[in-house]
Amino acid sequence: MNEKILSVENISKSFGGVQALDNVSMEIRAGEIHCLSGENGSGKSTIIKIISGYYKPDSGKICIDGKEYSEMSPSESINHGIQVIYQDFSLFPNLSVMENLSINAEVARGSKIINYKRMRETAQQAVKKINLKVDMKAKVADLSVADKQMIAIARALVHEAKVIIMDEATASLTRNEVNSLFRVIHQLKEEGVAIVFVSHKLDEVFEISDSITIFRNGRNVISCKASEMDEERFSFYMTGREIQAKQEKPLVGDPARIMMETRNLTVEGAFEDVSMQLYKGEILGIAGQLGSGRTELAMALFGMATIKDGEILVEGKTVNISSVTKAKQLGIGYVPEDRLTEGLFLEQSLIQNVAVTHLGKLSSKFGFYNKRVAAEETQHWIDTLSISPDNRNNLAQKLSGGNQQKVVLAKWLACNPAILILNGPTVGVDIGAKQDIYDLLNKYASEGMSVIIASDDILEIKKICNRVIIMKGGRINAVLCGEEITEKALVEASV
Amino acid sequence: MISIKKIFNRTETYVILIALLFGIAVETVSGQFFSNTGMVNLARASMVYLVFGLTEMLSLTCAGPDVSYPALASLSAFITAKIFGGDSYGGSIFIPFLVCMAIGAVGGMINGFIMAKFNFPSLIVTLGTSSIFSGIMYGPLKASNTVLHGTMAQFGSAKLFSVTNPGSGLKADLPLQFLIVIILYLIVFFLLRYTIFGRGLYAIGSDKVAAERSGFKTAQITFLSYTLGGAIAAIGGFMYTCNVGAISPSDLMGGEMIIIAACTLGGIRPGAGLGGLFNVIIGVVLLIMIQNNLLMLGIPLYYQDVFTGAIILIGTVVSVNSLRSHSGIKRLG
Amino acid sequence: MTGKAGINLKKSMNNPVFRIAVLMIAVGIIGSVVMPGKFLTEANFASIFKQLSEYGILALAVFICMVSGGIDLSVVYIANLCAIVMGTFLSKTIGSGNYAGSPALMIAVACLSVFVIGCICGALNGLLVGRLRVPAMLATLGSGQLILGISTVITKGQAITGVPSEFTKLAGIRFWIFPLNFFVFAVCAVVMYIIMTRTTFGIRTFLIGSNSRAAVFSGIQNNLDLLKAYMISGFLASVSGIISVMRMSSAKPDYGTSYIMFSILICVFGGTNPNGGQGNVVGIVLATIVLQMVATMMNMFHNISSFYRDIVWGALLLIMLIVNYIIDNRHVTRR
Repeated sequence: MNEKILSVENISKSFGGVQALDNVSMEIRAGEIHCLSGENGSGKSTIIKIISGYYKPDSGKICIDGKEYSEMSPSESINHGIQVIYQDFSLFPNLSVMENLSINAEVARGSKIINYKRMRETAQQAVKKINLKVDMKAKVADLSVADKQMIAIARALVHEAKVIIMDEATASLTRNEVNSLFRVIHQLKEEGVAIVFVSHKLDEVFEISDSITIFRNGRNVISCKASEMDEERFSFYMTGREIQAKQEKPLVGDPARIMMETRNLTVEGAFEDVSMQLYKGEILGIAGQLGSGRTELAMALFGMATIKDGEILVEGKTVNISSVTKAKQLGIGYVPEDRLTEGLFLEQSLIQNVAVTHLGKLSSKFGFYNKRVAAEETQHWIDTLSISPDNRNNLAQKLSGGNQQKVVLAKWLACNPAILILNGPTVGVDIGAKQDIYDLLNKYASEGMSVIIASDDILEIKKICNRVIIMKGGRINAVLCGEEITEKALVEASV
Repeated sequence: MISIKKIFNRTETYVILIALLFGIAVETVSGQFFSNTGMVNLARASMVYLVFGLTEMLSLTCAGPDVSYPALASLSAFITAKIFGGDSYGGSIFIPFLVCMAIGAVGGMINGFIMAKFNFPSLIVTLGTSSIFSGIMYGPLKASNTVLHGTMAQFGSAKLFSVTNPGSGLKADLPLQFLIVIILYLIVFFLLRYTIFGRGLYAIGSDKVAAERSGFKTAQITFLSYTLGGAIAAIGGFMYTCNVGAISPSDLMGGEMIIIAACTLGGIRPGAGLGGLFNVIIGVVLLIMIQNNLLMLGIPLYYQDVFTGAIILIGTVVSVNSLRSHSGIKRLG
Repeated sequence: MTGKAGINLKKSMNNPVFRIAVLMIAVGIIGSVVMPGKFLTEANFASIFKQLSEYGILALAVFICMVSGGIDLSVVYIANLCAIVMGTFLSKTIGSGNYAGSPALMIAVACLSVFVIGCICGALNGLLVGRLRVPAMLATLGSGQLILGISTVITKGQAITGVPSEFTKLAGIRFWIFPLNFFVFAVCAVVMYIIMTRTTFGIRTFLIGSNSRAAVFSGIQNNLDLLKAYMISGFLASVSGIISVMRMSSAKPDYGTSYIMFSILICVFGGTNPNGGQGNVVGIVLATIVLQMVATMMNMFHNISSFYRDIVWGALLLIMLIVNYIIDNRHVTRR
């Protein structure tokens, strides 16, 4: 057993009456890859922010390097060798790569004057460690998402880190990049660094971890060796209930009825010459890594792109989907990638969030908004989709990720769209809600709705899509159907 | 190397181009623009605005616009002039200078404290403090127009150098105070580039949460930024008062618009951590050029506001829209 | 606070409207204690209601822009421009002595023209903020300057005079303690209330202010709604301008520049979130009345110059921001 580097004991934290962490304890050992998993709201983000000094715990202590702390500042945390790589990278877009790499170290040093020579050396050392080739003078805002991720990792390695915490680090990475990342993680493990790997992606968790801790409702429900864990037990601890792994076959659409079709569609800077078809009643998958054009294609079908060449047809007729309004008129709905910034009105009630897409339908004949009808309708959706808590006057920000995604789904289902496009439908959604969403999509597709899912989650695509279009480098690389859809085939076609 | 395309994508290029065009237009009409007297007059007219531009830039970089600095500048200058502006004071100019700065710093601390502790929009906070500052000035202190004497008046009329235009025989003086502008810019440049405070300011403007996670003491930096801004604004007020030779409390009021517009025109994005001293300079110079030379182009006095307003609007629109991405995917929201 | 009554009180304090109502009663009590017999009088309240309409309407204008996620700093200048046009128009027609028709008709025509001007100014703002993506603060600061410039050109920097009495005497109409212009304010408030809470446009405005990106993704035409919101603001500003020239028989390009801060103060006092997405008209109305009561109370102490009030307003703005922040943030869960 490796030596204990960092531990938290009996940590509790509440925000405005909500208990985020309840008497939590955890041990991190040197040279070990420790996976921390949990649904949104389970407290795993909070414990990380406490370890990094961003939050102060209400009670309990943090032990590191033989010292005990009842609270830490970000500088103290960094000085003890704790580095966090956040999901949003926490980089400064307006500063150069070199500055981003070395600024944390400069601040931690405590000096008031900046020594640019020292910063440059720090930056050089950082990129050497992971063999990263990048232009030091470039502004981070101009870099690709993958490069930004690498910079964030390189930055974490600067400061002789003892503990590196990666918070959903693989969310925006291609398979190749994930492999590179895992190589780096193994290298660090050899050097005795402790890695805390926060993820909800089952395949990654089982691929890389030595030990696993699962949080639920603010409590540490299990900490054990990876070898003692399997998929079913994992789901059980995450959700607290048994999830039946449904082995239904994906729906097959009706090729005689083509709901939507693109011919040689080209959008500048995104994709080109894309020709595809959407059958009625099917769930069509669009797969592909970041930058393959997968997301952009989904957006273009919803009126969010300027078409350079080619055409789109809806039910056989050529249409110009020039705006979101036009798309809505054609019966197309869209569940966006990032529900927090693109899908929800966090400070508004669930009623407003559901009603927003069809306010006209909720008005009386004089054009006056009918709040009662809207409220009833929201209640209907809360019940149908099992959204909890079920108070329709709740503000959207109070819900967990999975329930929030259901609200976004509800607002489009309420429009009764003929075609529903979902971009990354279960990102950051807990296992229980994931299955609920899959069931819902199957239900509506079987009743005639045509669904497009753009996703980089291979397991998800394999589970619910009978046909998949795989994008690569802005073009369609392969179209797989039925039995052809295997993990191997999907991966091969995307890289 | 910087490609030609990249140059044309930047706001600064357009600003300099417009400035040159305007200058050529004025030169054609009056022949006075690109002369040495013309340049000196331009420098002289821009002095106080350049100083105020610094204050505004500090606020814009980390948070948003600051509309309280004219009131603060007037208040500081007024108090200083009341104490030191009479005949009886013949001592060094440094003492009133430092006193003025100190008052400005205190006022800036009020802004700084609120901005550091709460996440309010800077526009609204500074609207409130502006009201307080001007209220103090006109109310309990009963500000009114007074003429300056003694050291302060002397300082106002001290010259750095004079130039004479051989062609027209006109003279132009560059006041000694211009040195203050240069010194201030050097100091702020050093702070912005070589200190944790300066980099922290850009970091906070870029992403406040990320700045905190990186270990920056964001509250401290914000507080310092407004305190410094207040002191600089007070210096601007001091310079202006000495220059004019009298205290006119209401003169500077209402000038916040010009400076904010100048900064934006020059390329500073409010609250985004983008833009530096160079942007302030070109923005201010362009605006002053336009304001002072409209008469030269034959435009009557009371048409000035219209022109200034129109140019500011057009400039702002261009500035905000200039960095278009070349992707077919639309920017939304 | 324990017990059922205690918990209810605490919950109610979360409602901004309730807070202001409490404040209003408090101010009333303080006023009657400090100036017994003079504060709670008919004459005093008449004076209160006479003055507050101008900036109450401006506050409504700023309110809708704030809710949409922006702000309108040009309302005062739009109001002045409209006041100038109104006054000049009337003095050159009714007031010229050559006019033989009905004054009421002329006044109506003048009002309609001025409404159009207000809407056009508002449309300019709406275009800048919506289609041209200029931050509202900068756009309205700039347009305000432009409109000020236009007013200056029209009047050559002077104040206008010669507004005919057929028009200005309307300011004297009173029903009990409420003068005519208070009814104008009341009508505006009621209409705004209906628009913001009962029409789909109003709901959309709140949503745009809450998250403009999500609004686009939900199919809302942001630019169109923003255009409408700023046009309403411009229209309200024109109404305020009409009232102002009616009350004072003159107008000038830079009258009332302190009203801008006052309007923002009223909005914040009334529980409007400066970042957009939250606020209500009732709060605005109550806040207007409370602040006027405070102003009148300060007026009664003749030895305090009007400039002390600036200090009070500035301080009140900051205090209200902080109070709102503390109360509202007790319940926010950070994830």
